[in-house]
Amino acid sequence: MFKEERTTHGFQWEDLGDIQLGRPKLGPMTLVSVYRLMQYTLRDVLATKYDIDTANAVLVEAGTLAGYAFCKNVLDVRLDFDAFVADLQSKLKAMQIGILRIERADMDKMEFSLTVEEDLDCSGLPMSDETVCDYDEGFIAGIFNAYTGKEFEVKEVDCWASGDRVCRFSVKPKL
Amino acid sequence: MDEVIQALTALARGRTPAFDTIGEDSDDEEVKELKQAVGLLVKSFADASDFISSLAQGRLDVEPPPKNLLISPFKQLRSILLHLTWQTIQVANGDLNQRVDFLGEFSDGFNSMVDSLKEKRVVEEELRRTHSELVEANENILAAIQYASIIQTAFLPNMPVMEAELGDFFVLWNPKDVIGGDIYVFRPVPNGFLIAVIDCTGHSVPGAFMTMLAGSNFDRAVDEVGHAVPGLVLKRMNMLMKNSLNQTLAESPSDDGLDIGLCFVDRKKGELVFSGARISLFHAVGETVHEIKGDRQSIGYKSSDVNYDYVNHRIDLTTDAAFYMTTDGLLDQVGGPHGFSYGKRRFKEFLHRHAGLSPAEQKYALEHALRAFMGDESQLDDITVLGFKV
Repeated sequence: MFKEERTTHGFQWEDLGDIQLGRPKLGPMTLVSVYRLMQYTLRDVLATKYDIDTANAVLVEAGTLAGYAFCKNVLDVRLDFDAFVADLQSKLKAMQIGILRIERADMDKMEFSLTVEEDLDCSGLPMSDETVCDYDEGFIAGIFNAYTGKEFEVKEVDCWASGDRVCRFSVKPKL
Repeated sequence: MDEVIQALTALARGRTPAFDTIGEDSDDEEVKELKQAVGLLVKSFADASDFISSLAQGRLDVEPPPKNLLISPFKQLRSILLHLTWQTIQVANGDLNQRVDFLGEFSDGFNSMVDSLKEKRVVEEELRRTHSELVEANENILAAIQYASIIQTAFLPNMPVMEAELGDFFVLWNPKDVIGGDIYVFRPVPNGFLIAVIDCTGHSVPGAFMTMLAGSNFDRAVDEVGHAVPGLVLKRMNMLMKNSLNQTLAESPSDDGLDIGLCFVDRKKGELVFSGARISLFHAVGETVHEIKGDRQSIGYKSSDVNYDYVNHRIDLTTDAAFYMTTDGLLDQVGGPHGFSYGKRRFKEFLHRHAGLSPAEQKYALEHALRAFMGDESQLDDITVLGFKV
């Protein structure tokens, strides 16, 4: 199942398993550092084995897969946009992924400017003059894809790692 | 070095020094690097200063300079303010689920405001629902009253019968609320007719109920005691009304009754016999108007004595005699420049001034006079005025 050869994505939300069943003593929570330990070591190996662009692309693609599944299984896609955003904000905060805010929303062009404060991926990282939330770019794109049925391009504009205190993402329909 | 010191001093004092000339003219590499670094600092400071000034003026549309680490906290503030703007727009558009949780006391105030709006919306919805129910209930009531009006109107004397028997007469019948507690009665009898105005307790629906009772008890009283002595009819009606409403008992929940002015016109004898319970008969001969007052006991109330004998007043009929009876709705109607009631004096003056007119013309004139007298005042009670010549 997890180690079968494949050419198309096979991930399903159910693959996350029954955590309550699996961790009756430790519970469902862990530390942000544990999450980042996995992501940044994985990023390092990908960058070393292949190249930076490939590492970034893999993280974006994984994030997109995750965001799509997250939206389909955790959020209510039947809600109108405002209610959907409220639901998304609430769930991201409750699951301690980050504090999502809408800076701008152009419903006609479907272009948005979002910020995520205390981002799971980067808040508190040493400054490196680069944006590092590639996985989040994909995550947000996956969510918008699942909600609208359209593909979106998400670009991180500001990041904790680039010196800002919030991560800012530009969201546009993919041309 | 002097340029560097001056630039750093200016920055420390919040001023942006001119930096174009810095870092270009030194031979010492270290000094050159220092000047270039200070030049970069000066530019970053200048860009930051412009951005922060715009932010301080509330201009959230100004884009922050890229890659300027001096303004990172201010970019965060701008992001928060932009989001707050978006949330406020959502609230204005009706989304009352927005909550702010990152601005301390402002958050409390904002959330409190939204909660108040939410409560207000709930109250408004309830009001809308209640209003809708009230409108429907009111429509149902009005429809019922309209139908009751048809029944009450049908209950009144048949006009062709009155015209055939009376000839010259008018009736002004104006319930206050579509239906009312006033009726008039006309009943042909051997050698003449009975004619009366009846003013029952209340108006609108309760008054209309009373008129049904009054009308049927009137007929029963006439059937039981005969038509020739109006005073006897009134006495009999008194007992019948008290019995109908159980008002012979002190513990009866109601205390309702009626006033009545009743005339028996005996054409054979050429006389009119009048008996009244708090309703007068106005007798006009030419321009002279006399009032024959009704007795000071109403009919049917708990306090109405069943043994009371109502007085019968006999009047010889003359050719130019006219007779009028009115319920107190006309006499008690307020209006005029001082808000006084219409009163008996004004009614007698009217009859005096319009003595030469036909009953139909008198009705028209009375309606006109009443409208003019009332002005903007609303009608206080049911109005019934009867006028006839024999």
